[in-house]
Amino acid sequence: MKLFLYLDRESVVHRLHPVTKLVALPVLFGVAMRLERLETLALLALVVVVVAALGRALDAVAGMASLLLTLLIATTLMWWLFAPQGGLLRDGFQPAALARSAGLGLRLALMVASGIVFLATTRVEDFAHGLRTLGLPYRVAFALTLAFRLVPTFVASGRAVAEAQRARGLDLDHGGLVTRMRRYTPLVVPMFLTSIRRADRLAAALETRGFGSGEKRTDLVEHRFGGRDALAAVLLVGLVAASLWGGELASQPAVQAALGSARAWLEALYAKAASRP
Amino acid sequence: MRQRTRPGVLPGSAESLGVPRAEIARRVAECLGLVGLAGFERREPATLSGGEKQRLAIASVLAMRPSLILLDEPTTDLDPVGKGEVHAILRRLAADGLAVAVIEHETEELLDLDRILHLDAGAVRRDGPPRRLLLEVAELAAAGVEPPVAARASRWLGLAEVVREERFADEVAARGVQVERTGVRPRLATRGEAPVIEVDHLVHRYPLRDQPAVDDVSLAIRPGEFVALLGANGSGKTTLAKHLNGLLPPTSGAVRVAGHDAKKAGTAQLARHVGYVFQDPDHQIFSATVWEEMAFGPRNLGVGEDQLESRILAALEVVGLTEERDRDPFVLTKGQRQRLAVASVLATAPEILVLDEPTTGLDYNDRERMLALLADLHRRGHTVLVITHAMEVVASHCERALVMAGGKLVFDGGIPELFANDEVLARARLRAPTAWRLGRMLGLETLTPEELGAALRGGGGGNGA
Repeated sequence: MKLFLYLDRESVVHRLHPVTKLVALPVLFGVAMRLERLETLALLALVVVVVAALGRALDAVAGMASLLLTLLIATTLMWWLFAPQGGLLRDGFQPAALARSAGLGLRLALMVASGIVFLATTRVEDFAHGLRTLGLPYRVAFALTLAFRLVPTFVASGRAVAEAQRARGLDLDHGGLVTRMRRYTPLVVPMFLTSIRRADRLAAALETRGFGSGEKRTDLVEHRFGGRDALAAVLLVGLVAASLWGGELASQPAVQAALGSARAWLEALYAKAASRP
Repeated sequence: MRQRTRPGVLPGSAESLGVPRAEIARRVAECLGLVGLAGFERREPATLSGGEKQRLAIASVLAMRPSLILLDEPTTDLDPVGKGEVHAILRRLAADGLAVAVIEHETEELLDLDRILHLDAGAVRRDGPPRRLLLEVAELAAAGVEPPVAARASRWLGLAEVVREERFADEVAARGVQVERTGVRPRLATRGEAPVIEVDHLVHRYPLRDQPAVDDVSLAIRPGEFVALLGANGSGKTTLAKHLNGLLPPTSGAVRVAGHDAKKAGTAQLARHVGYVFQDPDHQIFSATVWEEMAFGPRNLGVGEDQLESRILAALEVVGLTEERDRDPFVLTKGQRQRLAVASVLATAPEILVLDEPTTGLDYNDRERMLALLADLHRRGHTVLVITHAMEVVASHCERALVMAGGKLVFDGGIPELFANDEVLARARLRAPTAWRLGRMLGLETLTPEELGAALRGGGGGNGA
């Protein structure tokens, strides 16, 4: 079973300083929250896709396509049906409301997708290192690393418990809700107890390896900010600026005029292409 | 620029101790090399095999540059070759000047250590060189420690210390012991009955893995057989076994158990026919009393309360836990919990028993009890399939061996045929037990220490033991 999204590859995004990525992620979230129109959110989606491509992580995103699509469709539907203004149930069908709902669905899917790109291009150790650089105490950052490390272990022991009980005839698929809930006792108790035992052993193992020895820790992971981090920062600032003032800028007469002539040019081009035999 | 060597867990210990960064990178490479894991720097620890993980754990402790390294049963879960590899590493470290102390109850691998401390009831009972100390066969057995087979053989020859394996044939000849060739051992009896388990071109693929875990395996097991399922860690034996009660569905191929298609019948239905005992009893024990734990399986299968009591009592009797019926399972010893797991499966009265590593982690006495229990169940007519790394168990109890390597079934036949087949043994990382290896030097096919002893004493030599 592959439980982690991280892809051990060489790419510009992999090589970014973890702090850069740790800052970029919430900034991207903020930009997504600020944008509302479907068109601008689609532009942001393009940005995320470009970053994923640069990070050679498109397949990681594609691998989660079902999750992303479910999020997108479910959110869109919910907003479209139940929105307080323009919702289908209250105000009947309104194309603008549908577009708005789709935008909100896309916003959520985008945030998850950028999270996937982050995890696919950042080692847990680097993630923790980034958090420490940002001032988080080592123990907290270590707990995060540990949580990631333990996921496959807990999944494996959970599976082992379920198999052991199914082999003794435990049936989790039939019966009413209450009976089914009660049937989970044989799963929960052994999982809980094995987890406690494991935590106990883990604590001893950490101590034997000098955890909290009082010495000043060496951090093996080392990163320096480089040109690509500066470039990423500039692009991020540009993105934020565009999300904040892009709309105003676009409504300036000069920009409007420029956009109008560009549009006319495109239309002419299209007409020419269409009239060709 | 970025650090190139960034292994997942290894640097942890040295980092905690504030060792400079360049030094850590050097140590990581060196320690991985010492345990034969050079080039593994970037692997996720979760993707390593059992033996590799154990070696990584040793390396991670070595990275702290200790002057003493303590190991608590470091080879319990490993396949025979993996065990040998770990012990070879420890010997090399000791030769380099590191003090190595191993806590162990299996004595077979301990003969080449410098010194053994035998603890009993919290006190050091004996202290001495292994080849001398382990020769005290009767005392060891009385204290619940299994003496190595080579020690028993040395006793029979009247030697002053445990013989080195490569010197065994010479010692026998030097003492003028006449070896009595035992008669031709009865070969695997072919039974006429229809198979109770049929596996037909079974393939199982886990998601996102390139190699199938089980690759085109076909076999048949007849009622009442005692079969060993062998192979290295990660060879696919547990995956194969989990198809026998429907825990895993075949990717392709078919499995028929007691007349049911395993995939269609489902695990709950097959539980009536196949009892599956997992390696770790703590993965299944959840009840407040032994009695309740025993009742879980039969109740799931709809056994009425009137029959329940007699079934539970019978099963507890078989495993010798009748006295413990009202106790909390969590206060039982590991051996008792292991037997409780077997009993709770027996209470469902299955005709087929599958046991995954039933003797792992048990001490000598508990192991002997478990084996006597399995032999007893076999005599009562149960079909028994054991997954194990313990070759002495295979030699003394099983009639037939199935050997897996890389997902394929590479051997299906009698135990002597397996031990004589060096190619299969090497491929599956197995090693014939000591009694066989020693017997072979004398031109014998002895599976158990008792057979070896009979051959040596029957010839008129030896002082007995």
